[in-house]
Amino acid sequence: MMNNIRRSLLYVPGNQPAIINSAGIYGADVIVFDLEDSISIDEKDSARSLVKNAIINRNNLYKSNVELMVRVNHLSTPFGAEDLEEIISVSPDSIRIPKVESAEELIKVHEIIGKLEKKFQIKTRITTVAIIETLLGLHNIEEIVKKGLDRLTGLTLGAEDFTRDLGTERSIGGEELLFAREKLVFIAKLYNIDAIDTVFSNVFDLDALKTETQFIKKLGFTGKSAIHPSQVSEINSVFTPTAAEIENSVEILQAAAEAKEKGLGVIARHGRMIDLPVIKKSERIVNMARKLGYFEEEE
Amino acid sequence: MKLNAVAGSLISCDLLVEIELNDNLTDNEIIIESPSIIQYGKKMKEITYEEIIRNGLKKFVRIKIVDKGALDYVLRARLQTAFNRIGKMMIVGENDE
Repeated sequence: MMNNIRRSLLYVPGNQPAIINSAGIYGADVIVFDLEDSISIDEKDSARSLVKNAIINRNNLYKSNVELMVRVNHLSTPFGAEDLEEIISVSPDSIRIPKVESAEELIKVHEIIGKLEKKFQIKTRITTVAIIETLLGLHNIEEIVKKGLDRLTGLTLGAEDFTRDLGTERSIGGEELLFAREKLVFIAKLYNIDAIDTVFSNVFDLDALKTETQFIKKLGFTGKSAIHPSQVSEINSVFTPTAAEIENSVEILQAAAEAKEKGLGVIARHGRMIDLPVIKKSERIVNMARKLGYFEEEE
Repeated sequence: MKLNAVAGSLISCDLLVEIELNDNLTDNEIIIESPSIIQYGKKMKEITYEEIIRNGLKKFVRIKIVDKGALDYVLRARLQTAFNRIGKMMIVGENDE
């Protein structure tokens, strides 16, 4: 059973059995099988078939709480429609849709997914994550989300293509992405879906990855994509609440529950007022801790 | 008519499948080279026959598999790809005629 947490999303090239076999051991919340950029045109068919069979075989390859997502090719390419047809037939958890630039585009993909779910009698609802990787996509982002909420559960930024469209290059500080990141987070939070940050390209610099992950968490992102297994634990460590945070949150919720029982309107703890935003934040932390299995022994 | 299609690779955990569709064949032929032929050869043959049947080709094929430690799902995937590639060649061939 998936836990719906998306701290780390590990990209896996769809045509490499060795990497697909081992993708589950690094602790990524989501495995993103890639049929798009990492696959040469001549191997699109074999990657599609390999990913399809890996999903069929998921119980032997991965833990049940790992989300299996597939990045398909764009519908405007000769591969997009066939990717959807083949992949939806085996019921992945979610589809990552590249280069979404308009609501109409997303609606079209959602309609195709809906028809295929019926055709293949898929019992669970397959969700989507839209990749915003052009200026036009960012310009239309609210419309895209508003009209795609029937399936859309997350937004993510494709920084390489986006910076190219912007006529600039990615830098360590990421100043060129600040506006796009803030706008994406704002819209995602406004519509209560996940805000997933772009990949950090230098797989050797884990310190810089951690700094960037801490930064984007402050902006409000809920998770980050990874292009190498070594990045997963760094990303998870930033997005996982610490034991002290969990303990503190549990105490706040207990204090809030006691106050409610006594009919008290205002609660103070350690000299600090506990109001609704603090309670909501504590609920979020405890909820994540529960999903990550921190309270299993107690339950 | 003689057609050949290949799928997969000789990289570790993968395998290379070569399917030959040949009008002169009188039965299906399966050749497997694998470091674990003793343990898994029978299973690999079973999977290969299942995929031949699933594909529904009405002609006999010769299939050569060079295994580099692939799991069952990889074998199925590579066979399906090779069969699809043969199928596409047959369609092109029919259209050319």
